[in-house]
Amino acid sequence: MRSLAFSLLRGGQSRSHLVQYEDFAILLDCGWTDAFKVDELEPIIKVLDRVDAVILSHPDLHHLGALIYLIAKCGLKAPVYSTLPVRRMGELFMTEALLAKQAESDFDLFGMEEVRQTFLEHPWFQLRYSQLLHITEGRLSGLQLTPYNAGRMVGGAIWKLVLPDGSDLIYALDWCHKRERHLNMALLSHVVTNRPALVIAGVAGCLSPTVNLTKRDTELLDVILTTLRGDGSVLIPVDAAGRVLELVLLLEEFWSREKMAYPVVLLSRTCKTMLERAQQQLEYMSNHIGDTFGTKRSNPFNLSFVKPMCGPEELGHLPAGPKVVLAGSPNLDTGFSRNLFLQWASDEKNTICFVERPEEGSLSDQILKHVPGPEPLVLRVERVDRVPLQGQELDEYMIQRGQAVEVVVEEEMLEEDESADEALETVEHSIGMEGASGETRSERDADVEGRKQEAEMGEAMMMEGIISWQVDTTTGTLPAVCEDVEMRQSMRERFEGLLALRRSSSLLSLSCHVDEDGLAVTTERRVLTEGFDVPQGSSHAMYPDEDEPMLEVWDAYGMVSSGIHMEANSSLLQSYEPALNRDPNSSVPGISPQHALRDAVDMEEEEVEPEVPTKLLTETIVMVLTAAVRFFDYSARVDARTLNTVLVDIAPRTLMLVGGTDIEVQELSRQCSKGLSDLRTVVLCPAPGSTAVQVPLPRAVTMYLSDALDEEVAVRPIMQRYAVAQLEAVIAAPDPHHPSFLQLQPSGEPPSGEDVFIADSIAGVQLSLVKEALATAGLQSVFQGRKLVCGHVSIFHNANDKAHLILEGALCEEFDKIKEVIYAQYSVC
Amino acid sequence: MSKRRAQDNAVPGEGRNKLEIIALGAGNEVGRSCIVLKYQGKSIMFDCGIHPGYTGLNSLPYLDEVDLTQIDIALITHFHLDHCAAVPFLLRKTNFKGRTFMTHPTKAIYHSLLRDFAKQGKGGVDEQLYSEADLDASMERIEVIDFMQTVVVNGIMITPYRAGHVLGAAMFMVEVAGTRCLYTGDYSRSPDRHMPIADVPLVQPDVVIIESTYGVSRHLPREEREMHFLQRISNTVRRGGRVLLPVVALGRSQELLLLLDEHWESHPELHNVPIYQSSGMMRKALTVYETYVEMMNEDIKKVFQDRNPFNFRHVTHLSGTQHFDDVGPCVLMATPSGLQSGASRDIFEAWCEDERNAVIICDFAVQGTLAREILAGPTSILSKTGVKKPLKCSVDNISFSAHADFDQTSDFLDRTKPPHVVLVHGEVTEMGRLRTALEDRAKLSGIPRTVYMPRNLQLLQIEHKPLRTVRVVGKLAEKDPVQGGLLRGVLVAPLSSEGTGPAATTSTSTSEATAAFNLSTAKAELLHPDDLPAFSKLHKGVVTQRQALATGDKSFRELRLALEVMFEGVEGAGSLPVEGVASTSSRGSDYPMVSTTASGAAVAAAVTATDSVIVGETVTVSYYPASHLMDHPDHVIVEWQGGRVADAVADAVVAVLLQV
Repeated sequence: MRSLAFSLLRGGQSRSHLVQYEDFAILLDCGWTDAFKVDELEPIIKVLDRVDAVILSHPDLHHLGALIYLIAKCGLKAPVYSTLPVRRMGELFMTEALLAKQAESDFDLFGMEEVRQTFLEHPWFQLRYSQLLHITEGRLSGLQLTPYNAGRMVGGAIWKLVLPDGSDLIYALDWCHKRERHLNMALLSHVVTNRPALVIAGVAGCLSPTVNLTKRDTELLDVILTTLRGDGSVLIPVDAAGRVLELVLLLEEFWSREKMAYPVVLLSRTCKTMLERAQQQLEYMSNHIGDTFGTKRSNPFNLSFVKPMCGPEELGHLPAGPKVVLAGSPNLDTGFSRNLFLQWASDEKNTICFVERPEEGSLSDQILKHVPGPEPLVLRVERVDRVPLQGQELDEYMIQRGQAVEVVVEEEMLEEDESADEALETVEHSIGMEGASGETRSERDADVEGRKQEAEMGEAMMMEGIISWQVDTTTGTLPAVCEDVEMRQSMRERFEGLLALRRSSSLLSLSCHVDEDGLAVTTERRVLTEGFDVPQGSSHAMYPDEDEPMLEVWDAYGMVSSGIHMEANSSLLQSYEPALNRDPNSSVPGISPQHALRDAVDMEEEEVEPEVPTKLLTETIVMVLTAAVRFFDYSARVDARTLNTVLVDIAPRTLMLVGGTDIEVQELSRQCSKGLSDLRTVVLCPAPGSTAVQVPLPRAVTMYLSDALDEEVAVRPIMQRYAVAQLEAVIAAPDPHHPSFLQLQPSGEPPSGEDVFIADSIAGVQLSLVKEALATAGLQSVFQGRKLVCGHVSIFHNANDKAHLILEGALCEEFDKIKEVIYAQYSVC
Repeated sequence: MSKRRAQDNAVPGEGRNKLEIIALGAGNEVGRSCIVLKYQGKSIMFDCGIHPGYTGLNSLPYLDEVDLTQIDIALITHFHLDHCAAVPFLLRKTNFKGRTFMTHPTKAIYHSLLRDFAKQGKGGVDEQLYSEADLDASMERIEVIDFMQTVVVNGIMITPYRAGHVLGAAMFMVEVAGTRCLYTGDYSRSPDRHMPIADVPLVQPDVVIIESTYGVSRHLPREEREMHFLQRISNTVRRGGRVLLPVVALGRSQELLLLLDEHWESHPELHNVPIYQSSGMMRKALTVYETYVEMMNEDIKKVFQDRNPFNFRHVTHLSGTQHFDDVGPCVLMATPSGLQSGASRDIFEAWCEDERNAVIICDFAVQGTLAREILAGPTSILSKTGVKKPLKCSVDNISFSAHADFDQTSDFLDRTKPPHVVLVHGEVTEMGRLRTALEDRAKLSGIPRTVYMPRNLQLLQIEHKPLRTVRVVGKLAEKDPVQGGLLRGVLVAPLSSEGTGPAATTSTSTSEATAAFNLSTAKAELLHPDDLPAFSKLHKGVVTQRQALATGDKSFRELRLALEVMFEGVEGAGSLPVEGVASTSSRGSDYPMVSTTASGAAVAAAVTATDSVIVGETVTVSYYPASHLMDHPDHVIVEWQGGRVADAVADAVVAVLLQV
C-alpha cells in the first residue's frame, strides 16, 4: 500500500506543510510572521532540499512570508505554483513588510533585490482558477494541479492535487464561504467529484462568532461616522494587499453614496501599485465587479474618494481634523499604523477599528485582549526611529570611515577609481551632517509633529546635500578628516561635480563657487539660508506648488513666520530629517509616489543615492489608551458549522485539520468525526513540528472498457448522486491505440455474482422513499410506527443498521411486487 | 430483469457514439458563425454572429432550423460581429434556454460594440434585430469563463484556450463523455504587438472545427507587411494625399494604432500629419485593454511597466466624422471595415475621386461588401445615394487581419493531430483548395485525417468512440492485475454535473443528467461491494425477507424430508446440503422481532421456533407450531437475504413447502 506523508511544519498563524508522495515532496505554503524570526523556519529549512515544488494559496505573509528567505538564503530551487494575483500581490505584501522593517530596524535578512529576484525571476507557474495543469516532466510527472477560488484574498486558492495514481488531495485553508464585495465565495464542495483521499482543512478562526456581513458593514460605518462627527479620526490597521481591498471598496462605496467630505486615506508604501494591480485582476474577483466593469466600463479600483498615500508626509498635506486612515500593518508592530497609533491613541475622540484577529503577542493583540474597565489601558510601547548620526557618534563613524576613505583617496590618486567616487560622496554627506551637532533630543521631539507636515521628500533630497554643506561653511569648520589640503581639493572638485549632477529644475539657479580654501561659498545659497526660507509644506525650494493646500497663515506682510526659520540654524536641516532617515533601500515617495515599488528597485540598481549614516533610536513611551477600540470581523474565514457541513459532504477518506488554535481543532475534529463515522473517515489533528503523518493510499489501477463492454454495461442512477453498474469483466492486454492501460472485456458468460444492494451511507434506506416508489408502482402503503405497511407486508429497518431493510409478510402477490420495487430502487446487477 | 430496466435508463446504444455537427452559419461562407455540435444527448452551440453582407433577419444564422431548447450551452469565441452579434437575439427572441459563456474581455467589449450595432439598426432602413434593452438584459445571462479554466456544465467539460486574433479571443475545447472537440473560432499563430499567439492544447482533440478564411494563401512575413503598409502611408501623405483605413473598431485597429504610433514616434517629420481614429467605441474600449493587460503578450506587458502603450502619443480621437477638419494630408481610421455604411463609407465617398488619396483595406474583405468590390479594381462605384462616382484613389489590400494562413493552419493541425477536421468560416473555393491541401499533407506524413466542409444546415455525422477509463481501486486492485483474470465489482461514478467554475450554479436536474452520464468526466471507479463505504458515500445494503406460510397439518419432519428430497433431486447429491438445526440459529436471532405484523397470516416471531433448517446456506426455514396464546396456526417462516441466488432458492423452497 502506497502512502502519503504529511507534516505540519509551522504552527500558529503562519502556514506551512509538506506532502511527500513516493519520490517527490511538495511544500504547501511557507508562511512567516512580520517578526521574521529565522529560528522559526528551521522545520522548513530541514526539509528544503527534498522539496520539488512550492504551492502557494494566499498572497499574505502567513502563507508566503518565508519564500524570499528560502529562495535567497537557503537555496530553494523548486518552482512555485500560484495564481497570478498571489504572485503580484505577494510581491507587494513582502515589499511593504520589508520597507516597514527597514525603517525601524537593521533588517538584513533580505532586501529589495531579493524580493525582485523571487517574484520576477524565480521559476514560477501562474495558474488561473479551475485550470487543470498536468505536469508531464520531471519528478512531479503525472501530477495534476488545479487552484479553485478560495475567496478571502484576491487570488486566494483552494488547491486540488491529483496524484499520479489518481488519488485526490484537497488543500483548503483560510477560505471564505460568503460572497463579498470584491470576491466570489469559495465552493469547496464543487471542487470534488469522488471522495478525496486526503483533505487538508484549515480551521483557523472557525469558532469566531458568525458574521452577518450587512450588519457588520453598517456597524463599522456607524462607528466611523460617529467618530468623525465627534471631531475624531479613525485608524483602521489593514494588511498590504489582501483584505484591504474589501474595506477600500466598502468605504469608497459609502463615501460616494453619502457624498462625504471627510478625507479617507489608504496609507501604505505600496498602495498605489497595489491599486493599479487590483485594477488588472478583475477576472479573479466577483461576478458583480466583472459585470459592473462590463456594462459601465468603470474600474471599481479606480478610486475617487479613498486617497492612496505612500507616506505620512502626504497625510500631512491634508487639513487637520477628522479623517479615516487605513494603514498597514494589522498587528501595529510595524508600519505606518503603529506610528499613527502612537499619535492618536491617547485622544479619546479617536477610534481604532481592528478588522482582523491579530497575531498572538502583538500590540493589537494586547489591546484587543484588554478587558475594558474603569481604568484606561496603559501601554508601554517601544518607539523606534531611524535618525542620522550626530556629534560624537558621527565623529567616531567618520573616523572609521575616514580611514577607509584616506586609503581610497590614495588609490584614487593612482588610478581614477569608480568606487572611490562613491566613498567620497559619502564623506561629503557625512561632513554635512556635522552641522546638526548642536541640536538636542528635546528639540527633535518637539519637531516630530512639525516634521509630518514637511515638504515633498524628493525636493528635500535635492536640497539635502547643499544645505548640509552650507551649514558647515557658515560655521566655518571642516571636520578633522578634511585637514589635508589635497583632500580638500579633491573634495571641492567632487562637490562641484555632485552639484552639477543634482541640479534639478528648482535648483538651476543655484551655482556653486568654491573659494581657494576649499570652502564652498555661494551667494545664492546664503540668500537661501539667511532670508529666504523654504516655506513649510511647499514642494519647491522657492515657490509653493499651487496644487498643494496652503497650510500657512498669511497676513498683510506675507506668510506668518515664527522667526525660527529666519535664523540660519540647524532646524532647517532637521526639518528635512525624514529625508535623511531614508534608507537607500526604501522607497522615497517624494521622488515618485506612484511607483514606489519600481523606484525602490531602480534605486538599488542604480545606486544614485549615497548612504547616509543613520542609527536606530529606541525609546519606551508610556501611553494611556483613551481612544475607543472596536473590533469588526473582516477576516472572512469559514465558520465551524459551514466547515463541518462541507467536510461531511465531500467526505474525505482522511481529514487533516490544521491551523487554528487547539480548541478550534478539537472542536472541529469532534464534529467531523461524528458526521463522518459512517464513511470510515480518519480524522487527524497533527501537532506542529511532529513527525510526518502517514496517510494510506489505496492501490489503484486504471483500465479502460473495451467497446463491447462499454455497450454492455448498463449504468443507472442511484440516490441522485451516483451512477452505478455491476461490472463483470475479463482483464485483457491493451490494444495498440491505448498502450498505457489494460483493457476490460466482457466475460462472455452470464453474470455469476450476487445482487448488490446499495444504500446511502448516512441516510441509509429511507422508508419515505420506498413509500414513494411503491406509490409510483400503484401500491398504497401507510406508516405504522416505524414500519411501512402495505397490505399484508410490512417493511422496516434493522434496529442497528439503517441500510438493512427487512421485508416481512405472508406469502402473497404483494410480497413479490414490493420486492421488485425495492430491488429496482436499491440493487445493482 | 433488472438488466432490462437498467438499459431503459441508459443511453441507447444506437448512435451513441455519433457526433453530429450542423453549421447554422459560416458553412462555406464567412460571416454569421454558428455551429451546433451534438453528442450523447448534449448540444453545444459555438458562436452566434451575423453576416455583415446581409441586413436584418437575413443576416442571422439559421436558428430556426434546430430545436434551440435542446441546446445546453452557447460558447462565444470573441467580440467580432460575425461571432457574437446574434447573441442578444438568441437570448431574448428565441426559446434558447441554455447557458452562455464568454471570456471576461469579450463580455466587456461585447456590450459596447453591440450597443453601437443596435443603434445603427435603429437609424437605418434595416429591421432592427433587438433593442439596447435586449442587449442589457442579455448581459445578465452571459457567464464569464477565464482562459485555461475548466468548467463542467451539465456533464460538458469546457476549456477555453487563447486564440490570438483579438483581445479575449478564445478557442473552446469541449469534452463530452470522453470525446473532445476543439472549435478554433478565429485564431492566429503569428505574434504581433499586443496579442500572444494561439495556444496548442496539450490534450489531443478528436474533432477540430477550424476557420479557413485565408484558405491556402500565405501571409507575407509581418515585417514585410508592416513595411509595405507604412511605406504606402508615408508616400500618400508626402504627395499630399489622405489615407483611409477602414477597420473593425476593435481588434486589428489597436494593433494598427500601436504600429502607427510607434512609427510616428520614430519619424519626427511625420509629426505634422495627424492620425485620426473616428470610432468612439474604440476609445472607450481602451479601458478594457488596459484592464486585461495580463492577457496580452510579454512585449506589451513590459511596455506597460513604463507607460500605458494604449495612451497613444500621436493619435487624435475624433468624436465623429462631422467634427473632422478635412484639410490636407492625414491618416484616418474609420469603421466599418467593409465600407457598407457609416463613417468609413462617408469618408470613402468623399475621398475616392482624388487620385492622391489612398484606401488600404487591412481586414479580410467579406464578399458582398464594397470593400471587396473595390479590390477587384472597378473604375467607378455607386454611392449610397445611387450616384455613380469615379474611383481614382489608390486601393490596396495589406492584410493585417489576425487569421491563420495556410502554414499556420496546417502546422496547427499537425500539432493537435485530430483525426477529423471540419472546415468552416471560409469561402467555398478557398475552402476546397485548403481541404485538398490538408488531405494531401496528412497522406504524406501518414497521419489519419478526414477533412469535411459542410454547407450550412448540412448534417455532418462523425463516428467516434471515446476511451472510457475506469479506476480499479481498493480490494479489487490489491492483487496485481493478471491478463485473463476476472474482475467483478460495482462501477460507481459520481453524478456530479454541477459546474466547478466560479460562475457555475447548480441548475441541473439529476434525473435528466443520468441520460448521458459521463464516464470520463466523472472519474468512474470499480469497487468491491465491501469497499463502497470507504470510497463512495454508498453502503452495501441488505434486504432480509421473511415469508410466512401456513403448513396445515404437516409436521416439521415431513417438511424437512420434502426439502431434503427435493433439493437433492434438483441439484444433485450433496450439492445443496440440508442440515437440521436444533433451535433457532444464531443467524435467525440476529434480527429480533418486536411486535406482530399487520396481517393475521403473518406471525409473531417472538414465538420460539422449535425447529429450523438452513437450505443451501442461504434460506432458513423455521417451524412454528400452533399457539393458542398467540392465536396462530401451524406455520413456517422462510427467511433469506435478498439476492439473485438466494431468491431462486427461496422460491424453490416455498414451492416445495407448498407441495408437501
